[in-house]
Amino acid sequence: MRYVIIGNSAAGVNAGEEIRRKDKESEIIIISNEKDIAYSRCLISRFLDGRLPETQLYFKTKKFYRDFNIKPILGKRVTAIDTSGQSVNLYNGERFSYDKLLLAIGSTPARPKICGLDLEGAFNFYSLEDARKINNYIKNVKKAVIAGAGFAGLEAAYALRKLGVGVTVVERCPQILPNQFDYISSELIREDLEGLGVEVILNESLTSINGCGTIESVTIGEDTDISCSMVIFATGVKPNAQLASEAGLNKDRGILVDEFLKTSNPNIYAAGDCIEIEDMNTGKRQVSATWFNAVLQGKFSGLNMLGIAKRYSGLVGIQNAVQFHRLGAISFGMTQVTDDDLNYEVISYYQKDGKIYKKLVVKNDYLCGMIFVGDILKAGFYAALIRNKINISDFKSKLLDPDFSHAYFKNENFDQVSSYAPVPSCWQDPQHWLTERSMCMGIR
Amino acid sequence: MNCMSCQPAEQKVVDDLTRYMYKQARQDGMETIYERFSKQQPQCAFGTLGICCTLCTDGPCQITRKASRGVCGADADLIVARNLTLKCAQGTVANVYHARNVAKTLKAVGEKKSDYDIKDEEKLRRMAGQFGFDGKLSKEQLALKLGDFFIQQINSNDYEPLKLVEVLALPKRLDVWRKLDIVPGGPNSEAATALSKCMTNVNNDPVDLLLHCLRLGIANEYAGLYGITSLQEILMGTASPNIGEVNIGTFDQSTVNILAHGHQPLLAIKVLEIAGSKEYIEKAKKAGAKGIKVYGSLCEGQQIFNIAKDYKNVFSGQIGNWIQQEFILATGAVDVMFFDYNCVMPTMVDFAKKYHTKMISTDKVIRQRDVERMEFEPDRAREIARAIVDKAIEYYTKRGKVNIPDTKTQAMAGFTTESVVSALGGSVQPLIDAIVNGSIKGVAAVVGCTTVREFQSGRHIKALSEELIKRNILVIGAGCCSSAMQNANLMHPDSAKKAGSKLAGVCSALGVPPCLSYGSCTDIGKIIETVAAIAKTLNVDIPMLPVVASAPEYMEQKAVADAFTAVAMGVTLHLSPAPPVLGSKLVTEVLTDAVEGLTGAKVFVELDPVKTADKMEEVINKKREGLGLK
Amino acid sequence: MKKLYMRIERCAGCKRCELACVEEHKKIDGLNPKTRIFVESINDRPVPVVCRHCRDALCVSACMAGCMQKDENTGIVTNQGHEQKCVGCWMCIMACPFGVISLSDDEATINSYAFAQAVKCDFCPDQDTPACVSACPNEVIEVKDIKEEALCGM
Repeated sequence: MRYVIIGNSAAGVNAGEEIRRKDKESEIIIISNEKDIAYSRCLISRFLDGRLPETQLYFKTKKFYRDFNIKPILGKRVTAIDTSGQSVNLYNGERFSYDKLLLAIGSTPARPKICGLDLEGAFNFYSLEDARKINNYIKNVKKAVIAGAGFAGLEAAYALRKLGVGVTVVERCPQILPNQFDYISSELIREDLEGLGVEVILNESLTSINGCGTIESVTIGEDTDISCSMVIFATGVKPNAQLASEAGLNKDRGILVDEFLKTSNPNIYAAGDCIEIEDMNTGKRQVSATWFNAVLQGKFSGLNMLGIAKRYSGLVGIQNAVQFHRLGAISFGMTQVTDDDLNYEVISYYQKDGKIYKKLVVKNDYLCGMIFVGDILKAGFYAALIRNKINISDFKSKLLDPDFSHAYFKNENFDQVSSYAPVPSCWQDPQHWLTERSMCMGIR
Repeated sequence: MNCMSCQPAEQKVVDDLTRYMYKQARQDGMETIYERFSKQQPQCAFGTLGICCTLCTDGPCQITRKASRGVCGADADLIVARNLTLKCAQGTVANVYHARNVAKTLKAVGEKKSDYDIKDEEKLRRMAGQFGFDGKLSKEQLALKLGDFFIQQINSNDYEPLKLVEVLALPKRLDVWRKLDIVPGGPNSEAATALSKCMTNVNNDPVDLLLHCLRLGIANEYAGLYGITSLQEILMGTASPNIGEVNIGTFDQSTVNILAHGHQPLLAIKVLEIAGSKEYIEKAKKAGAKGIKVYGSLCEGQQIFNIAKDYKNVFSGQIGNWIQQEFILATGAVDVMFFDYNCVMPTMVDFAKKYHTKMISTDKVIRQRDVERMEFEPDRAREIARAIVDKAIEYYTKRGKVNIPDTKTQAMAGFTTESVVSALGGSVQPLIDAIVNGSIKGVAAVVGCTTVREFQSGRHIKALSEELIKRNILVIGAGCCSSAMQNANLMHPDSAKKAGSKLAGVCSALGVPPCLSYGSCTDIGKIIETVAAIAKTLNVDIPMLPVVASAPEYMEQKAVADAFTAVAMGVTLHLSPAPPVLGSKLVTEVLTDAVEGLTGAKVFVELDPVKTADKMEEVINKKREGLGLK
Repeated sequence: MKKLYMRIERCAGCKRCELACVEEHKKIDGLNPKTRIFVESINDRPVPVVCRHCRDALCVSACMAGCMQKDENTGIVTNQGHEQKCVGCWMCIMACPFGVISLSDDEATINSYAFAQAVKCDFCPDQDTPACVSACPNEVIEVKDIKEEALCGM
């Protein structure tokens, strides 16, 4: 058997590893247009600001391909998929046949259609190569403008600030992190960033980039000019679906897959940023370009490619963990729901002084969204309640209690090895709890 | 939509008005008792079981699976008994401190060096006569002698049996105590001996410590509770039934509001007089208020409520109990809170700051930061009272936001031995008859604190009282339990309809509620007096009576002392939550079983209110059987 | 695979396990060590809760730096001691269904590691017996060799 994986990032690499763990014999090939070995795209900001050297960006070690007997073909672009012949064609004419193919081809940063894109000093912030380019250019930059206050944009802002560059972030929505957090939490994070000296302009977008040869300023809105010598685009990514559509596979915005991550072709699977699949909460198909989703999709698709049918129970579109300066924040599931939506119940706790904000979104008896800012401990437990659809009807008033934890639920809910002996009956009856406890404690 | 600002304690608070103010306090960013309780969880079971000892530097020791003795060799039984004795001693001396203050004031009246006078001369003479003082002396001379006598008794040595006990105790009870050799001497000396016994390496006999607790319990009653209540009655008058307003909704936004908080009402009486005077009403009006109102909270409030008939134009309500205190201030409606010792949370200063309340402490024992001290002396009472009311008027002008829930609740207070007897037509016989013919099955004293623990904030008290009256058991409340019952609308004559038909009939006929408020926790002494009076009339000892007691939400050390008082008196007692004794088999068995063979009463623990009522009814039924009643 | 197994009926809530864990990890965490074992409560009754070193650990999948790894032989899941370094992104905190991953973001940590660090049970690599097991006065925690069942988090 030959497994061919296009894509050398979270989904592709994890698929390869998963296949190799179960199948020691077959051939596994990973093809990528990027020449770098598997690095974590999420870490490039830390490379940019100097906290991590290039060698520390790899989420697997250099020996990974050798240890797992995976053949890496790097720096070469796949131009076409021949579905009938079951092979992939590279830009230089090379062909690789496959028994099973995984498209883990990620996404491409989008740029707004404005003039000045060709001026020197305009960059994306998506790949390690982008980060290197910015690094080379940054020496004489005093001021940069970043288009887009999503994750990538704010990470870039933070990194540039750490390098001493003046930064203004321009965002067209009324809040930063519009796809990730709600208004209150985004305001708290914005304050945290502004404490570092990052300027944030909301409700605006770039209308043009101005300069002669090199960037001298940008225009936002009608006529406001900001002088700068660098622009970084972080206005979102588009899933790479062209290769799939040219091969005749079903796609919408992203490559369409079923619950086993199979495309419309039985031998071709897809995982990661490039796919479109139902969100477990909204039921609607969506693209979700996040690391965690990509890793799990990679693993699941690997298992399915092996013939081990493993249902991927659903995307959780929104899941983010972030800490720029002082404030950590985690969001998961349906976070954008507000008080006005009658279908949902919002439970929130906001302590302005301590900058702690917690919001839970409940529908009927199930948790479907959470945001924690400032105090992020046990966020994963709430995420698990959402992900595993655990009934919380008995605990609605306890949900944000400091002592609420997975200990209230049976182990089976969490699908992991049990840590507990069966709970003794005395737990149910407070009257006897103390007497039984002293006996269990071996005192009398 | 239903966005709930998350309230972990939301579900726990049983009283609507308290819940309303709790939400307000949370919205204002205040941390309350509920949050503090939550943050403390889980609380260590070694402590809860009583098997943690922190006395010496070889500790702190715990009795564990690995260690069956502390470093000094103390085992679980001894550690539990020591811890319990220390609490009992604390509670006893606390009550006795209060009694001594009243005795000092009485003495000062005798010396003509006070702002007070004798309100109940008859009682003074009767009591003085009991202790052998010459009836021909003037009331001032008797006041001097009686006050002095009490102080001497309080300060006497533990090896001199208290005359108070020998004179006042029911003779049959005294026999029992003599046989057990638990007739106490002076309470402070008894406590000192108890403390010495509890030191590292002194005692090795848990049963001796428990017997000592019984001595303390007896001293607690006669030198403490009895002293407080009877001497206060001489100076303030005796409780008489009256109806007033209760709970947080009582506050009036348009008046200068003064809150009397704590346990010692003598100063409050003067504040009531000053606040009701023409001079000060004018001052208040000049400041823009409609008038001045004085409210009570905690046991101080209950004691004033008892005699409120005399202060109707100025005493405007009994606001609440221990748990409610932070929420009372959160209304922003309290201009001055003056308080003496006991039951003021250290966080009240923060609430006072936030909600523009001036706090004034009035007892030497109180030290709280940022609180002005105006320490009570019998001959400076009026002066201090004037200062307090002046401050209140000043703070009225500085009020911030005021948020008062708009529910009004009423209750009847003012029951005590004398007023009950009077309501019954002059003797306890009608009550006895009612018990004999079954229209009142028995009497349950539901007394003590409120706790944030299981069955929180009055929930158990309310549920238990409702159950008991349904079973035609007359409930007598004292302490924060009274407040919880008042808030839950169980102490108004109209609430007779919540009782079983027989009890309801009796109550309606007399125009009294099915739950009678005796007042403060110190009025437990009066409950015992009533019970003793019934026993005397029937010529039986107390354990024979269909009487049972409960402290369903007891919290602090005075309650521990009172618990031993009840057991020593022969009244079986229910406790919730479990006292910290379960770590010792011996102590648990003595308290829940063996002690009944000694004093005729024991303790039982039950957390569920309905089951508690079942067990209390069982006790009463057994007693009825013993008396040959059906 | 070695696991920590709790007999919760014996737990007194004394939290000596938490203290011992903090003490043991001073060398890693520095000035402000955090506990990796937590005495939670169910209605005020104590329940000790600790990392289960899951077979298909979600924190390993979520880690975007690749530093959270499950050792093939011992089964221990930890983010320390590997080539890849923890960058304090908190993805693991978001992923762990048991909420047993904590964080260390004080100045001392950031100075030593350049990043705040996610902090979790590492089975006390320097000890024969984990610190919490030794410290428990009631023998609540046991080290057991358990076969990991075939489970997958999603």
